[in-house]
Amino acid sequence: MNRIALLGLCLTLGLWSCKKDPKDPLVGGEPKVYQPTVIDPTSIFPAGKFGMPALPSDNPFTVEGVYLGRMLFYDPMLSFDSSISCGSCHRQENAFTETKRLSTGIYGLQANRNSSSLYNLAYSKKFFWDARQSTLRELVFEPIQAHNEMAMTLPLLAKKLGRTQRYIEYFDKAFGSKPNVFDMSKALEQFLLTLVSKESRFNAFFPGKFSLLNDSEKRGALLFNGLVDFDAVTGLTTGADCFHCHGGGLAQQNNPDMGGIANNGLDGNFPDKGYGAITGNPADRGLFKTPSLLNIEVTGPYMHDGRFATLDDVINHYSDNVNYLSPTISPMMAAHGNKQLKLTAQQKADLKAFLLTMTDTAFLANPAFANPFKK
Amino acid sequence: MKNRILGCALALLSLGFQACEDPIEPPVVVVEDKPTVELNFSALWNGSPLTFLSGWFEQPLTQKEYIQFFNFGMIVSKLSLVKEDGTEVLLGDGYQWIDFKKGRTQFKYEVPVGKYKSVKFMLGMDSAVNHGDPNQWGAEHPLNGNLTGMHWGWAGGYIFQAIDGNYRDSLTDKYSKGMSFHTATDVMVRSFEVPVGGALGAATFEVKDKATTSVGFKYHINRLYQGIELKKGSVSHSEGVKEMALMQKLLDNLQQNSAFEIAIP
Repeated sequence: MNRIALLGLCLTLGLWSCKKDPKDPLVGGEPKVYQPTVIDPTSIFPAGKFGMPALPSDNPFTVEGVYLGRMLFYDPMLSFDSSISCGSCHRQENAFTETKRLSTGIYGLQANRNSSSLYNLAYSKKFFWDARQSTLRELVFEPIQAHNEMAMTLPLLAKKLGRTQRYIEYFDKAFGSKPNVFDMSKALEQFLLTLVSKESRFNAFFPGKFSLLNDSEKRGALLFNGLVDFDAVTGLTTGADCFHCHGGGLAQQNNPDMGGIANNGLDGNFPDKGYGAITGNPADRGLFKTPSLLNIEVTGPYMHDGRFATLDDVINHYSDNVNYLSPTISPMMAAHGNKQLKLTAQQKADLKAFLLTMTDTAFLANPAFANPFKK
Repeated sequence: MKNRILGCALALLSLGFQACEDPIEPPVVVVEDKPTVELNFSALWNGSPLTFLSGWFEQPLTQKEYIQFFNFGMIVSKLSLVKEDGTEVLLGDGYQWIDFKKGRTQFKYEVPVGKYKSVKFMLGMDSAVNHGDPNQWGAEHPLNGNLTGMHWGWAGGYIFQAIDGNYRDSLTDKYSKGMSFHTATDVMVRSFEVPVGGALGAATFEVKDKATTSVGFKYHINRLYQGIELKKGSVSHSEGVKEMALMQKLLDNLQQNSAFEIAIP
């Protein structure tokens, strides 16, 4: 009899364990009501600009999710010693990059590459200079954990978030969850995807309303969008062929094989292998993700290692100093025939004038992207 | 005996716990319930699959040249199958982006049952579409310029075919020279009808109900390059007198050298 009772007790115990936790808001008990306010993506990506990007289907924009992501982005709590936030190296006034050649992490440690600018990320499929990440959700974990950036551990971060009232409140509002690093990455993903820069003068006249440009900008636009060729009489270049890798309204090529990941003739050998270190293919050494030129006025210093301090330095590189013998140089640049453009001072000034039309002052000062902890 | 009872108890306990797990869904087996055609594009050099960023393909000229490919994509429109009786069946909305490097080469379409004699398409598209807004298309549409990168972004419209790479005069050369052929602008749009069974066009393939018919589309890229000496011109973006002439020659090669072939496994 005792044995039968024991069997019964075991079966009961096993089945009892199936009983749902009455505190679980999803399954029984008193349901906890959270209804985040869904944001229509067309309000973020309006028609007539860059089109609707492919968005993560499991992470719809919500007012609460975006705001949570914004708080997390600017919260130094995400670093080990609570000294720096994502926003420390990605400053809004600099199109979410910063003016240092290489960023400084906690304890003064230096990052390996120049901080990437952050905007129009919804249209990219590869992230970081070496194009090693494919989703923003995965991307955010890297700087948070990098020893020379925020140096945080995820268990500790989850603990810190879980002890903070505003996160207890906002994780619940946004995801119906307690603070955790997975929903943290989704909130950051939401916020980062909302960083859309679309109001520059360039984006107002693109593609082709030339009447909105002054003469110098017009000449610069023709150089930017012209194929490399040289005038038979003067010998001057008539095209700088920037558009192959920086074309379209986004001023960026997003197909890796069409110039989206390229060697732009900086080096003959590669102290930083870039994309080649990711793929292991020698043919990819020295290739880096092609950045957008929108807001280029404020995103210096330039290139993956921040080697060029000014926009003039960048123009000088493409005009006079491209290493056409670099073994993995972009075929589209190699096709120029190992001939420097040798732009005149006027041409350089025109090209710069055109590039300056790409500054989106509304984006750089948009309060929706600003640090919510600053009053 | 005691051990048996204990064993039973543990088994029941384990059963009880196991009952908590979410039910496991059986794997979904996709069975085509409609007549379907699967188009498989492949790029070949003298019959061998084209590779990217590895190997050098020999151009059999008097003075040989060696080509390494970096990128090869094309945008087609009005992609259709032609029935035995001449009826044309548009595949999807007719637009497709084929990218041989990325392996975006396999496309499935639902089509009426019947016998088909050819594949028809335009390399490029109508002028109005070519010069329309590339942002009007859905995020995954073949004409979305941001997806494909096959758009010049300014006034030039789409790139219908992009072939980029390097070439060398000799395999012992230390440095490579660039090669870039971008087919674009309205005057470079070409139409093709590729018969099953080659130039004789005598064969057909049959699409049956509730079945998928595989159709191979082979692009013999060596035939595109026939007679092209890269040292005399390795770049054409379809603009300017010299570059236009070179692009015309490449496109003529496509048509005259039967660069496309339909293969039914």
